[in-house]
Amino acid sequence: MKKAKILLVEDNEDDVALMLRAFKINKIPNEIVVAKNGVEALELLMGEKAIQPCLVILDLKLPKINGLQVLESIRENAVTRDYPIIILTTSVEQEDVVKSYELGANSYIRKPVEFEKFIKSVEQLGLYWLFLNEPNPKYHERR
Amino acid sequence: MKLLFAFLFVLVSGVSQAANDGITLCSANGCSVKPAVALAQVESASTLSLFSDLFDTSLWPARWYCGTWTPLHGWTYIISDIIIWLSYFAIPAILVFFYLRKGIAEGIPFHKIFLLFVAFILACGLTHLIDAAIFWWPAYRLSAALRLVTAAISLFTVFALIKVIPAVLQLKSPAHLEKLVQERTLELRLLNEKLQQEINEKKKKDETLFQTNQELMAFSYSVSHDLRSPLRSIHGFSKALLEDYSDKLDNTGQDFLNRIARASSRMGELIDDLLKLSRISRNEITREDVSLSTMVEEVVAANINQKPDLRATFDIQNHITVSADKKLLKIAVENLIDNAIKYSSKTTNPVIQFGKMAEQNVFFISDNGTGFDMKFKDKLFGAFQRLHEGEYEGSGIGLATVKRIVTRHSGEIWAESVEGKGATFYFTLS
Repeated sequence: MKKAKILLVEDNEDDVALMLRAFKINKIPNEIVVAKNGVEALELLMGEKAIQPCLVILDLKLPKINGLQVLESIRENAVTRDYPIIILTTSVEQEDVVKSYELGANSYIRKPVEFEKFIKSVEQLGLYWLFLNEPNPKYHERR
Repeated sequence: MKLLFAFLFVLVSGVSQAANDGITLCSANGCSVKPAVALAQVESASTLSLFSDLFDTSLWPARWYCGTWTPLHGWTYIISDIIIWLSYFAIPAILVFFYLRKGIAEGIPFHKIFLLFVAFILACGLTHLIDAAIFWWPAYRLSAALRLVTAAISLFTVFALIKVIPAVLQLKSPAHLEKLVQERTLELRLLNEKLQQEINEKKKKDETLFQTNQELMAFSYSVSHDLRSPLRSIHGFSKALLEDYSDKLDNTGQDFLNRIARASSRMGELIDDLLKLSRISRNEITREDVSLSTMVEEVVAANINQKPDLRATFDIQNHITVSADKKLLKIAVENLIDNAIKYSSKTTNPVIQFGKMAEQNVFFISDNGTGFDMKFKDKLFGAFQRLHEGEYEGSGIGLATVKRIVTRHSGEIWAESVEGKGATFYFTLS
């Protein structure tokens, strides 16, 4: 069965590289599609060649359209509004966390500095969202 | 005073003399009392003192019969005397009424003289009454005595008046007082305006300061965030190098990479602490009643759980309650306990105490560890200040955080120590 895609919305190339490495180390087989800013992310989700990811990993600090706006747009769109969205960001500013949950984020994770911790986070994240969690059968492209 | 009595004595003798003269005068005017009888009675009278037999009228005829009075003159004399007497009684009555109504409550100045005046007017009035009565009732003895008393009171009043003249001169007139009040009011108003202006300026400054502070905090927060990203790269890629290229690196190369990773990880911790510190400064504090004793016990219990090699004994005073922001206070207590544990970890028998001083609301956490040189007691609470670099782990931000928390509670924190014997941290929370 073809694995569903994961959409990673991240502007920092280093973080993208580390994330891909963490996925590889944790042997997560899903294809990772990267959007480098908010506009790209929305295009990938709602454009002509829209993908149906099983998971959206969203950074908050993004150029053009920031993460919170992307989140809001995803939740407002009838097609995309049920996608599981994980906020993965540096900020643990209370305002950001509260706002994210208000806008319908499913989870909020802070990026750790240490790579070991980062790998561990990705491992748990993958384990939970890609294997443990029962996906919404509405989307056929799952898993 | 002595002088006054001497004077009075002379006066009394004079009055006695005048009484004799009066009788002579009266007989010269052809009074109906026989001179022989009168003289005989005078001889016996001289043996009497001035104030005895006051109502004896036997020596004189009624005034109507002394000389020749026309009804016009006689009645003018009588009626005028009575009017004078009535007025003389009315005036002190009014004065006494005034004294009773105002004097007692507000304190009339020179109230003794005031009362002396009342007595003086009353006495004068009485002499006029007697003068009128004498037309039918020749009570000259009474009249003489009364006049003496009146004279004495009059004299007293005169002396008393002379005595108070300087003080009276000092009294301000109502107009003068009014002017003074106006001047003071103006001064006060100007002062008030100046004060208000100062308050406004201070408010403005406070606002600017608050804003600057907020901006600074926001800045430090965002900088801290932005600093974390490159650190993650440094740490992540050094680890990636170590993992993927270890066969191409000798031990020294691997050691260098490990150092890079360790340093970036440590910098990450520092940034996290800075973030915590800035959060403490930015958030509003919400006071509630908190059991400080319970909080210390909880923190100690958590430490015992996390650190299996913890050897310290804890002595925690019970039932200490404070009004504070629970979250912030917890951070402060964690830091202080952490500090105490850390710096007593190399002591043979570490003892950590928490309690309240006898003096009002001073709390303390003490240990018997390394302590510090009191020379550096001011550096203790500065951010990134470390007195034991290398010996003990830490970011140097713990006590700065505690101080910030205590300051946000309008409290104070200070420490005392004897190097090698331990340290005590004292703090207040209001």
